[in-house]
Amino acid sequence: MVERSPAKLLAAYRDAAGPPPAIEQRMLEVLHAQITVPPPPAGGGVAGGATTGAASAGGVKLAVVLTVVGGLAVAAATPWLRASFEPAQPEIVNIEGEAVLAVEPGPPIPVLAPAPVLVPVLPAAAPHESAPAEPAAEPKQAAPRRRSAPRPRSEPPPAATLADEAQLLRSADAALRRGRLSEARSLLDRHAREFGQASLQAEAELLELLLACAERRPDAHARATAWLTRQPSHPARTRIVELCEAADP
Amino acid sequence: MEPEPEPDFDAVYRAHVGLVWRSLRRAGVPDSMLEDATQEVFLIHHRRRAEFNGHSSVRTWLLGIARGVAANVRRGEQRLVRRLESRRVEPSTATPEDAERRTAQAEALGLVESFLATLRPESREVFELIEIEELKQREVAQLLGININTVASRLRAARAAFQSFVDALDDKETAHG
Repeated sequence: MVERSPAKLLAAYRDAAGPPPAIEQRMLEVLHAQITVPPPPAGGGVAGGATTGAASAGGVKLAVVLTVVGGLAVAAATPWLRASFEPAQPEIVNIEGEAVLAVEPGPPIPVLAPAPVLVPVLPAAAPHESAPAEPAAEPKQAAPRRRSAPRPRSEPPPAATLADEAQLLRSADAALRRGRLSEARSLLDRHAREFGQASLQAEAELLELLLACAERRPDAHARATAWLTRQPSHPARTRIVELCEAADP
Repeated sequence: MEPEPEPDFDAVYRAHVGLVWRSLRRAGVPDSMLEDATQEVFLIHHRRRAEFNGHSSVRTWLLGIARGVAANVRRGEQRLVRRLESRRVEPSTATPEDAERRTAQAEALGLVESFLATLRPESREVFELIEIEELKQREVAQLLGININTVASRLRAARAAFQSFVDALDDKETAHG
């Protein structure tokens, strides 16, 4: 039994509510491993996690180009944003935002308009091999799609599927860039329905996040923060910060 | 050549990991996510150490980060939650000789938490930071952005309530023989 004095009760509580020694040590070892990883070179590696799905399938190679522009004016606005533009040391963006600001308040954050973010680019031949993602949006190429015998389920998805997926995401991105949010939402919903095991899941999630920011969803800022926490050197970082900072509730 | 951790990182970690862990726990971070959330706090501390200007103590700096991490978890960022939950904290290995101490700790944990639940949020926060985490009143005033006199008055009231709570426990135990 714990001796019933306030001080001893609180001391026992401190021990009980703290981390077990083994976990304390394990956390430190994990932290050592993470903080001794050399930072990426200035400018960041192209694509990074965003290209995880940009693999070849069925001989069709897919490149995803992330367009990262602007943002320096916003970067100067708050300390944590300034930190995000130190290329030699990728920084966590604002997961701790409101609390740190409570200690060291910063100036108000400007609101910027959305700008181009993610542009999946297919090789020149790819669009001719697949139907456009939006039937009503663009005329189909003249070449009809060849029909072949049904594939066994164990085969990898046909090349056209990956190209279709990229086209769908490119259309969603284009709609987002033009401010057609409902159209972008519809396309991303369609992507979620039709590509359950998406090859370009990372790109779809990024677009989903940016759309949430553009829609000023209440959880958009937190989601963006979590994204940037997970991928501090993502090449789309600047774009996410620009667009999603404006969504801060 | 691989860069080494900051020379004082381990010292900061050792000195304050309990504070961070408990703060996250009281802020509503589930047990299964405490390990990752704690690491997140120290990673942020490490990455943003250049911004730490000494105007606040390391404790209030870390608590500020912890509050933000906990807030993010509470906001229900689902993918983050899923990621953290996918790496659940493994229960620590308890030795038989620890059993008595652990029983006492578990009792203290339950008692103090039941007391904290009786406090108003603003008093609870002050009590936790000063009585449990042993921050100075000045630090708490800075962290919470309130007047130090307000901190003092809330603390007085919470301390008195805690003393009454402990006295009542003793009375109850006496009555039950």
